[in-house]
Amino acid sequence: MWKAIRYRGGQSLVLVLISALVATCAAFAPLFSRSIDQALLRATLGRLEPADLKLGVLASRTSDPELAASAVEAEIPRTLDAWYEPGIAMTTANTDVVPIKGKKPSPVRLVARDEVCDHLTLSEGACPGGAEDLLVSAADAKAWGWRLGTTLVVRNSESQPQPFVVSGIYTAKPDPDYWLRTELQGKSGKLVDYGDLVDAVDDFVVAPEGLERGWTGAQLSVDYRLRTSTITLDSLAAAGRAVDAVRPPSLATVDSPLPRIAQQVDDGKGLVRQLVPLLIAQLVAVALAVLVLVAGAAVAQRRPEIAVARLRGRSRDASRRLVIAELGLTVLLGLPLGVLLAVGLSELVRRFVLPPGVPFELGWQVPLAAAVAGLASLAVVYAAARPVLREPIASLLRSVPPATTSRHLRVGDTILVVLAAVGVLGIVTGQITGPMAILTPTLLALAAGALLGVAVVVLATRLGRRALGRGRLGSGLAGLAMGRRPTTRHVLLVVTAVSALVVFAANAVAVADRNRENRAKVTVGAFAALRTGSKDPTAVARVVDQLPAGQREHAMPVGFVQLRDPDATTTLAARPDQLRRIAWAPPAQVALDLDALSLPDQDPVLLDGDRLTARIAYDLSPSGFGFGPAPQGIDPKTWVPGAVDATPLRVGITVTTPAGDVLTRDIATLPYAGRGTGAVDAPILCPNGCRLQSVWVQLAQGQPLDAVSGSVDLSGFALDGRSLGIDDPSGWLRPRGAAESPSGGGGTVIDPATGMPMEVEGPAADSISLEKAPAGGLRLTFSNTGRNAAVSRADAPEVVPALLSGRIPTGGTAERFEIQSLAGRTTPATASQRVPALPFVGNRGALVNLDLMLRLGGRLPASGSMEVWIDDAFPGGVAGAERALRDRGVEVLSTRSLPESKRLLDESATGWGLLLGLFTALLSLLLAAVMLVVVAMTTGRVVTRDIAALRVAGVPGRDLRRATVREAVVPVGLAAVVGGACGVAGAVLAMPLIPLFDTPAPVPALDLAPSWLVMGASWAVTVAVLGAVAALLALRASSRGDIDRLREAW
Amino acid sequence: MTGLPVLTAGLVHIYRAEHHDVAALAGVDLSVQAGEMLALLGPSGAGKSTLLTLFGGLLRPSAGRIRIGDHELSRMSEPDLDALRGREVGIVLQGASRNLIPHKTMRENVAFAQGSRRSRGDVVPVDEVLDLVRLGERADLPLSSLTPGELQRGALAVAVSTKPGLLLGDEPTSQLDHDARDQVLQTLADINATWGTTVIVVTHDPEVAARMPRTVTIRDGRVGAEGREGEEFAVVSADGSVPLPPHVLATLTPGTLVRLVESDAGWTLVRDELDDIDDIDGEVPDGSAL
Repeated sequence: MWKAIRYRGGQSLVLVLISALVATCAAFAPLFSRSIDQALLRATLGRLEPADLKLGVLASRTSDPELAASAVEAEIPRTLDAWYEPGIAMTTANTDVVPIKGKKPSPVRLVARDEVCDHLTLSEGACPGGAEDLLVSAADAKAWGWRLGTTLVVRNSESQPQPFVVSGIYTAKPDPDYWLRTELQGKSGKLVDYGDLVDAVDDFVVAPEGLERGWTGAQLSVDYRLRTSTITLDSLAAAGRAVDAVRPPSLATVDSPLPRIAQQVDDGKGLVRQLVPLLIAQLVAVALAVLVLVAGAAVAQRRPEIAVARLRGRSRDASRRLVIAELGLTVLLGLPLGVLLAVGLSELVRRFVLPPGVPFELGWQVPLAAAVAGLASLAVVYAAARPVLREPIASLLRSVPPATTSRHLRVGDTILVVLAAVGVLGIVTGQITGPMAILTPTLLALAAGALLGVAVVVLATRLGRRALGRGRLGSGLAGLAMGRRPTTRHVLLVVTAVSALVVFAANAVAVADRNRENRAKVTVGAFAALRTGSKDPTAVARVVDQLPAGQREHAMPVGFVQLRDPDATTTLAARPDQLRRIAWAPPAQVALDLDALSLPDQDPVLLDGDRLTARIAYDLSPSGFGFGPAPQGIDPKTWVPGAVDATPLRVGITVTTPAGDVLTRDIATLPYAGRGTGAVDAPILCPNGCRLQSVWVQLAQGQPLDAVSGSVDLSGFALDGRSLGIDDPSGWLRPRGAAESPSGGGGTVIDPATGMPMEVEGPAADSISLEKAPAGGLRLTFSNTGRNAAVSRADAPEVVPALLSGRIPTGGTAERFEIQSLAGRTTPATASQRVPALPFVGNRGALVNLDLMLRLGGRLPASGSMEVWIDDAFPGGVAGAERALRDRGVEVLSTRSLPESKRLLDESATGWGLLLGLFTALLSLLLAAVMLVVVAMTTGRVVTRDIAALRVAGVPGRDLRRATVREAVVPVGLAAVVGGACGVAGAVLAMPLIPLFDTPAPVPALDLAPSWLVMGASWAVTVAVLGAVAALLALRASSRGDIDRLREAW
Repeated sequence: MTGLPVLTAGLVHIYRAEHHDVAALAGVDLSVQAGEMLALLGPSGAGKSTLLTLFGGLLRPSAGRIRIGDHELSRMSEPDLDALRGREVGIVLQGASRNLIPHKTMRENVAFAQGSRRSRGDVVPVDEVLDLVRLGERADLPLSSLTPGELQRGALAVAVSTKPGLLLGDEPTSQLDHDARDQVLQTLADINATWGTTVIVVTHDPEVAARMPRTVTIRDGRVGAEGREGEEFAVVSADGSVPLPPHVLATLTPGTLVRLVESDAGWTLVRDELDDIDDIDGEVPDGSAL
């Protein structure tokens, strides 16, 4: 047997290799899946802080006033020790303390934590030893002058004063593994709302005994830090069960992230189970197809031996056993090699692709997969041997085997064509999903290869004859050879399938990568975004504007206000020109119409002085029951208008402070009737300067008048004697139509019949218009019922233009809806453009002009942040930007960047899973190359004899070489073209079926457009590799076709 | 195992082609005695190789009967035919390489041919077989190192490794030089002499035919003539027809009328005078007189 295997060493080696590749595919699938599962777990654990991974047990003393944290800890089963570090018990109590005599009490927390003093630096004193000792922070000691021995009185849970003596002054050592996000410090020096705004105080550290008696409201907790290195896929479930089994004392709760982590990993595993078979199955299908062809060739080469066996009396079964034993043993030799290759490959992936900490595992699935691969390979050998072994002995004895180059579709080919047609139709109509749909691209390619085989065999023969008739020896001989070689169809089938698979897999990897990048871009907004700790948008914008040239062009300030409600619309404020240059617009949607956000041409008017002066002229008349001219039906002679005690019409301005506060300032009061002139001289009361927002009139409250109508002329505006230059109406917004009256319009008239007032419907009672006063300046013509009727400066629109992504905010329309300004105030906005997504805010955002928001002013609320976005050309990158901002006093809290965001997406089940596409492409290419070698080996003797015979017949060597190369290369080229087309078709058909993300997101929309460049490049590589292999083999055969080949030889 | 007799009666074999049928054998009646050595002669395409193939049970006749010893081949199942080849009929195909497994040595080839019978011990020892064909010293060499003559003798060794009653050889001496040919012929003779094996070979080589005690010439799918100890005879077939020797047939165009005239010497073939043809008595060569 071994001699038989060694006799055809090259062929046996190829069989071993292909069998090994089948086994590699089969064994690699579970290894890879398992590694990805482990990597998912490691990545998930790695992204979380120790505090996020802790098991927390919380309890209170509600039912047991004597309960101690140590007692809670004692209730936790020791089984958790395998996965958790020893618990850290902590008792806390919230109370307050008067930090210094005369001050209001400040809230303070008393903390007793296991081994706390090991994690504190005591600048003075010692660890609390008794129930009345405590430690204060160095910041508080300095702020309040607390020293060792200072007595601080707090109120215990029963509101009884309890004195503590300062026994030491601490500074906490940074140790996230111990503190688990327990923060003792950081409050000192800040204001906190405790009824009134009071000074905050850092935590007091006390001994456990200090919180025993009288502290019934104390909170008890035990934190267990996860030993992440012990958590594997297997132990995760066990740890989860152990956590579930924890039965804490009554009124205690257990909080663990493990169930959530397990769920995340399970979700990822589900995707891996979907992706890996998808890609591996196609590769295995191609590998088995190659094995079928190679095994068929191997059996064909053994025909003489089968014939000898039959000649010497062996039965069919005995002959079959001989062949199957030899070839079966050969393919089985490939199994361990394949498993070793799979393990090696898996190890490479584990070391160089997956995150650290992924263990090496050889689960039971690997030998099972190898066994299945072995059985499949044996089945293939059996299937390949069966037709030959069923031949009658007389046929086996023929020196030249019967021709097998059928010019018709064989049964297997027909099945392939039918399956591919059903698959394509099913995908197009949406009737087919799952494995069948996933395998359709490969089936399509195999079917196309089968059809191409028939077409080429027929056409090549015809064209070859025609070429010979025209004296073109090279083409003619090549065509005839292609038409009669049985291997032509094999080459066409496999190269078509492999070309399609390479193109499809490369496209899948590229499209997935592109979509991950798109999503990362939308998630980040720009190359990098640095979140600042500043709540002052103007200050951050100024810092960015003052960056030196070379940096300034690559940075932009961005503000946003994001409410807690995930469905709420987030306000994103940025400068359109910078956004266009630095930010990334979400892909696959219309371009953002940033011009719609242009800032008004009018500059803001800054009132940075003390007094506003102007000239005022008025012509007013009242309306309403008892006022104004005599109503119709009443004799004017008897009409006595009512009396009004005060001057009811207020004239004023509205200003916005740098802090965003909107303030009104009365600048004049006018009588309700009559004409007159006067001077305005009013204080502005804006020590830091204010922006003039509007001028208004308003009927004063508490007057018997229904309305006042008429006009007020304002001119000669000046601030501290300096003209403001705002007398021209063009610098003001034209007021919108009549202001809506609370009553819906209309007015009060006298009923002529009764003489009683009555409400009538009619035009709105409140209105205001702006025109140029005849004598210069502004003329406000109005009818006012008591509502503030304003004319705004044209430096800011009354309704903010915005680009709106996603739904219109609740209660609004596209024309008018509400957003949060950077000051956190509700502000009317209108959608200049609606788009599916916006940078960073995705499909729940309104993009507005940052400078416009700055004009409106305001400090960011708690829900708002200022960020600085940079592009990838910022000198020094993210670190350089952080340094630049910190150098200018802007604290950078966190940073997100495209590479990091992309890395997080890459380190996912889908990200890793789709890498298998590269493996698939490379391995299938290798398979095809091996198949070409096998074809060359199995047909080598026939080909070289043909060449030798043609040489004897006088065909020139150059024509023979040309014919031999064309015979080998043309089928490869044709199949590559058809395969490439099938790959494109498969990409279009099947890409929507491939999960690209572990957690799908509504935006950005998936961009499944084929990656033509990648597909073209992968196709070119396929053609180059396979074409070169085929050409080299052909040249080798051509060089060996000497006359000696015509002689019989061993 | 002693030699097996071979008997055919009205043996017909037709090759089925795509568009036409070809009658390779058109009624062969032949009897070969046990232990006889016989050469089948005839031009290419006459049907001699087909006849040999039918003797070996590699093809089934279209009509007629073949009996090898006690076996009626046309009625045997395929497994029985396999068994017959394994025990009683040795076949040497044209071209030594077609008879041997290339990756085995000559000793291994012989052992392979003996198959399961070898384990039961009812076969001739391999060395004895190899000695018989004078390959004892070359038994363990790779086949690629053997000469064509040695390979051909090796093919013979394989064929007779089970000490068959009938040895069939298709051109066993083709492509061999004289010395090698003589060695092969001697080996055949040795096998025949040693084991009494019936030997039937197909050959084109007159010198090989001359070395065989009996020759049968196949022409147009029938037995055309037979030679015994150097003398050539026409053979009366079962239907009474007598194929004329080629040189006689060349003088008689189809449709020529002849008469058989009895004389003291036997029967003389006389052309009819109506055709204005002279008596061909004097032209009938020796041996053609009936």
